[in-house]
Amino acid sequence: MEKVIQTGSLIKHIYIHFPFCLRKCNYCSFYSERYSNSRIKKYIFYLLKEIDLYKNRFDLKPETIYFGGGTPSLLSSEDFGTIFSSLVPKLLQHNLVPIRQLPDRNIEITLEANPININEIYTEKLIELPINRISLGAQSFIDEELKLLGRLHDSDKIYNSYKVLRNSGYKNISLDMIYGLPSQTVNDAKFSLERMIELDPEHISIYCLSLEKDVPLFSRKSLIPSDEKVSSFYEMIREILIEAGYEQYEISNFAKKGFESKHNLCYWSDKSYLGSGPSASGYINLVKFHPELYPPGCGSRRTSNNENKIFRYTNPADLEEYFKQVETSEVFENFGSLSKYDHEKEFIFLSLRRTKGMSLQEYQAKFKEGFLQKYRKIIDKYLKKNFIEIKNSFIRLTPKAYFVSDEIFSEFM
Amino acid sequence: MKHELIRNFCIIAHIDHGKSTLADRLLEFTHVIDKGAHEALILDDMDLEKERGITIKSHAIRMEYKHEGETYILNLIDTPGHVDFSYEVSRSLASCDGALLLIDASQGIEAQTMSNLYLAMDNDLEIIPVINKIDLLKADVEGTEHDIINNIGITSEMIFQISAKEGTGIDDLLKGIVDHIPSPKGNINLSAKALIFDSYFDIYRGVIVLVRIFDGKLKKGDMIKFLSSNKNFTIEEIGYLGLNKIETNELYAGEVGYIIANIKDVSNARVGDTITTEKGACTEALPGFKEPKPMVYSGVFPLDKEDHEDLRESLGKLKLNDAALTYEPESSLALGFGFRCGFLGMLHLEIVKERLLREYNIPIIITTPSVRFIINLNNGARKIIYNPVDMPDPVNIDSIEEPVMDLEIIVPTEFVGNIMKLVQERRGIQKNMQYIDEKRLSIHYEMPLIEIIFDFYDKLKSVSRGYASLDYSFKEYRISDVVKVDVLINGEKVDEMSFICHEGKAFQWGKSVTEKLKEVIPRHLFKIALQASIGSKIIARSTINALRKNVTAKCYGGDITRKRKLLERQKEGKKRMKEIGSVSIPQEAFMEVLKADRG
Repeated sequence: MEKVIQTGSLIKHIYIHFPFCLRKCNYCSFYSERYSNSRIKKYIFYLLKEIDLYKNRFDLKPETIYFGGGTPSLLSSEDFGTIFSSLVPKLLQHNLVPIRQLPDRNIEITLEANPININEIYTEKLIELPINRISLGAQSFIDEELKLLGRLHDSDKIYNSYKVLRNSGYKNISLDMIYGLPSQTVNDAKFSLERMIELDPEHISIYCLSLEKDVPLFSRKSLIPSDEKVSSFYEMIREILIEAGYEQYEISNFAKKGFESKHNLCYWSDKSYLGSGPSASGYINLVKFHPELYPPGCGSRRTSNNENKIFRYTNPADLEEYFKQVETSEVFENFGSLSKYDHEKEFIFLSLRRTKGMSLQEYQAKFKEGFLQKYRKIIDKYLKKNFIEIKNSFIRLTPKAYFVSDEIFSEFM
Repeated sequence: MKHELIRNFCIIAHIDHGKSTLADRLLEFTHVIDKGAHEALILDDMDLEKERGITIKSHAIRMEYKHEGETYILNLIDTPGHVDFSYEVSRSLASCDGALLLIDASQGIEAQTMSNLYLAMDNDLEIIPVINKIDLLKADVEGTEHDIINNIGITSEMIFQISAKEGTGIDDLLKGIVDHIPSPKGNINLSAKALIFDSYFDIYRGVIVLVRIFDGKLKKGDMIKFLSSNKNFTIEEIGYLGLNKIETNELYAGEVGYIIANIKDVSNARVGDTITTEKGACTEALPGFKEPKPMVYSGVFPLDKEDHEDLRESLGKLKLNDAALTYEPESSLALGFGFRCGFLGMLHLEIVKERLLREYNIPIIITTPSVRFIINLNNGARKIIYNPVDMPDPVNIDSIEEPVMDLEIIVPTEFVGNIMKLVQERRGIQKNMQYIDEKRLSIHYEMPLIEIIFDFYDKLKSVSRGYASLDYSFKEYRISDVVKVDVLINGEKVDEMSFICHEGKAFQWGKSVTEKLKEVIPRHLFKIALQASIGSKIIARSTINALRKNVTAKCYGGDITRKRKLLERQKEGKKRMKEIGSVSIPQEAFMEVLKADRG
């Protein structure tokens, strides 16, 4: 097995999807099931099996691990222990240690937590684990709004959980907020934002509510404030956060200096990542495959000796199907190769989501042509209207373009 | 063939009342096709017809039916069903001696049924009412029968009840056709006289002419003469239409069939024209012939500039089969090279548009339609314009004449108030009004054509719950206070959207057009001003606010592929738009402005 692992197959980012919730929120269309202890045990069994499949094919040296969901804070510290021990051989090499000993900022391990699950009893054990970043789903500090969203906690519970986390020693906490809720006023949004800032988290994500047809809140869609209003909420939020010392590093993400989420950045920076668990997605870029180890079902495996290849995959959003696919190694059949053409499109719109923008040199190196030449007409148009700017050989959106970014991205498709 | 044994008939029905299904069933019972054969819905053979449930071109088919020891020939002649083609309908009906009035038992009598029924009555056809879909749970056979008796004045014994789908009652109906529809009259010894009720172009055979022989006979080798076009041809092949063409040597008075005579262009064999033999020719044409004249003109442009040559070629091919269509080159700053086309009316325009897209795969943009105006210049010259862009500078104009139509509207008395109001809004002048029976009125108006082409037909139907029927014909040119209205998008004049209308309507039409554009042009990253003007005077304005939100808030690992596809779709949508100034205008906008409410 040793010789299989080549430098090219190094993967540094892992996302783990935990598909269970006590109650699904009214706006959420991510895959999750009702909490069930026995199902969770089975899930963990297959999750470890899936990770083993990847361990056999890729060189996992995690620099970020992200537990998302669902509600991964429903996992017990024992469950986390099991998961980490499966990753241990690799993790040990990185001297990963429990948070109480030393928060290692080189390896970012995030747990998405629901305030409802956070208390002293839970954190007492949690701190024994190498999790060093908590993303706390606050969403709002107005109780009626929390109710509308179908959250199981009120605003007091958010303050309380946040305090517990801080007291336990977590030094990298992120808070999530949703704005643009049905009937929300600019003052409502401002109120929640200010409460968040008072808590002084290292990182803040602000998400504009977007409703899929199949979620309960969709019925209130007509009450969502107008585009003009929501856009002004966004401007207000940006201004206040920047005033409060946060730097915006992506359309919806803000952080104090040095606290950008390294894991989130990997999605927008063309980095390879594995996604484990049902409905999780992975992206494998520039991996040198050995033909004999080429994942079955990847299409033209016979013809692509040692070529650089790019794949995306998404696991089935169904536990039973997921179990079956892991059991039979069929998960690899979800790997679909990404054409150079599509890779380029994705590279552009993902890079431009970051406030620092897209490196023109990186583009040139990856696609062997000049970005500015190729898209001169579009770029000229937006430069003139001040929606984009070019500085230090980076091209980026100007802040006024953020909230209409899809309009601009679509031009490059 | 003894003409006592011939029955020529058509089926009159509203859309979806089951005309094609009944035709299939008749063909099945007379063994033209096998039961359950896959030639379903035989008569509608263009995709477009099937989809819209309208029959655009006439067709005919011959069946043999044995009854009381005799073999009868039943000729079923199909009819189109829209006012643009009322002339073609009238010629089809003129070829028949009887008509099946087909009514859906779950729907009852409807507009198209009535307007075609009146046409049939005008042609003295024997009417056989047929109630269809009696198998449906929601069928109201009794009510429908009552309506028929009341509206048409027929006794209940004469009404047939069928289910074309299930094949119920078809045998009786076939007997009814033989018993009730008169055999064709006509004298075989007179000189030949045949009515063209349809003609179409076949790429291998040239024009196929469908005829009903009224007097005399036509045979292979005959030198024939078309009375209106005054052209002579030699019959190469003659026969009748079964499922395919079946060659015979001759056709006699009373029969229906086809003629192939090396005719290259349908405009030489126009619907309604009379055919006779060159020798011993009859001199008197059958009544009712009209030269189809385009009444509505529109710019037709390829969406993709590269399709220009293909468009020219395709229009040429359509023209071979559609004598009423005209076209000449036109060019536009925004839309490039295209053609100014003439159509019979708005449905005709729609059909040409759809056929170009479906049969020739050329997506096109159609600009605001106009009619022909006569401009009397100060210097005494007269200028005819088909295109608002060609309107001379108003200071040089003495007067403008517009086409005025004679209009007949037949409508149940209860809707007369609504109709009068509508017509008045459209500058109609009432000429006379008379009762057709105690329930229905025929009202004659004179009305400018420009008022008819924009949504008048739809409005008429909606204010009469579908019962009003409309027929119109050209009357004369009349001096009128018309003006040219321009449309400006962000200050740039869009020639393709200019229109000419009556001065009194300019403000309202200008307003409705700018409002419509506001609906169909997507928001841009900047504000867009929409204006309508007469000369330099702005008469209506509207604004599209800048796009404020088009963002994906969450974009992480699982969202990327989907996001890319959504962005690609956005891009695809933009590609289909036309750039005028810096504004992307969806191609629908050019069509939508003509759907703008004209009051």
